[in-house]
Amino acid sequence: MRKRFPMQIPDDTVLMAYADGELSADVSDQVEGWIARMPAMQARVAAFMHSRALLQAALAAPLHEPTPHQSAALIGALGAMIASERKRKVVPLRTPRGDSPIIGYALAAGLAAIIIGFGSGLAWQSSVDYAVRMAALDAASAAALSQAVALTLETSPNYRAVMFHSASGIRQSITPLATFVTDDGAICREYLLAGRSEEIATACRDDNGRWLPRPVTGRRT
Amino acid sequence: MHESSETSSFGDQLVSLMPRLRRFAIGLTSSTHEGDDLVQSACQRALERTEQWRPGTRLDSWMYRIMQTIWLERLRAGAIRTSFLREQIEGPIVDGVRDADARTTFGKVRRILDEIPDQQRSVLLLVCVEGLSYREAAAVLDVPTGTVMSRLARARKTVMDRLDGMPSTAPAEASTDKEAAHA
Repeated sequence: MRKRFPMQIPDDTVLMAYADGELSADVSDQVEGWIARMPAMQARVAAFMHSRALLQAALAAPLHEPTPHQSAALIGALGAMIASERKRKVVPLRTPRGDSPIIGYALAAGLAAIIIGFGSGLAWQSSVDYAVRMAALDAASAAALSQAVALTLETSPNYRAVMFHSASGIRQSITPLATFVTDDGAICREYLLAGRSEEIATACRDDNGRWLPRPVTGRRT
Repeated sequence: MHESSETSSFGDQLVSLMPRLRRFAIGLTSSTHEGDDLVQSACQRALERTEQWRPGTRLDSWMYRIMQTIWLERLRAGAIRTSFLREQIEGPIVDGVRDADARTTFGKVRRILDEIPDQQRSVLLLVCVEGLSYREAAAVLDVPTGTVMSRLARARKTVMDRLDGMPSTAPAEASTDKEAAHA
């Protein structure tokens, strides 16, 4: 066909690349020259094309299924959270080592907070209302804590704890555990409040971006 | 939900990619449940790091990369059930469906895919199913193009060899396999 084939006999990988349309026109021409002379190669190329078509067809089902409602809702909600958080000029910082981000921000006086990696695998059993916990704290700390909780729920992914301590010496960590959408479309998060004792609470985000404690009977996503 | 910021348009793009992200995740994890969970985790991570995505580059490639990373993290953490256990847990609910599915060619392909080593499976899904070029797949997986090619060739050989080795039920498939209509 062509006057010369500078290329060696194409191996399986080259035939695959030909079948996948990955070769330049020049190299494709050469491969076609070989295929014309060696019908076995034609069969290999066909097998590679077939395997591709088969895989595509075998995995096509998710394309025909509706996107789970909650995933789309969650993306919208998470996007809105992050956008509103940026408006408040939260500056995300990179840690010098590793992958866990530190988010620095200004909080109420007397309260310092950093977000640290916490790891997963938390265990919990009880569920105590958030408001009960609040009553146990002095008023200033309670306000600060609820700010810290709101900020954590806005910014921290599941299983990443926010550590903080108040001026009166109360130390707490807040760890979001789950994020879900209730049937009426509210975004809620379950979180672990850990200090002298550990409690689980749930809060939902209202249209104004406030996180309100709320007992929820929703589906976990 | 609220204002149209950069982030929410980013979110819109993400939502429009969702069917393909799910397809990749379900292929990667061999499980609808695990796949949906992986997609959600990846979206969450992406939204936290939108500033790391360079506009003008392919968002789908970036998302595949995030999913692949999370999946590797989970595999390394030992958080992933083996496919045997997964079948024990998810199997009984859809026994009839599973049995019927296993007899179709597509069912067999999915089963073979489940048995292919993780590294090869990622390449196979990215190139053959998601339609990425070798170079794009190499960028997603952070390996040389040559590695993509060798993994891809091995994985496809496995698919074709095992499929040939399985008892054929072609006549039944032609009439009962609903997916044939999609193909």
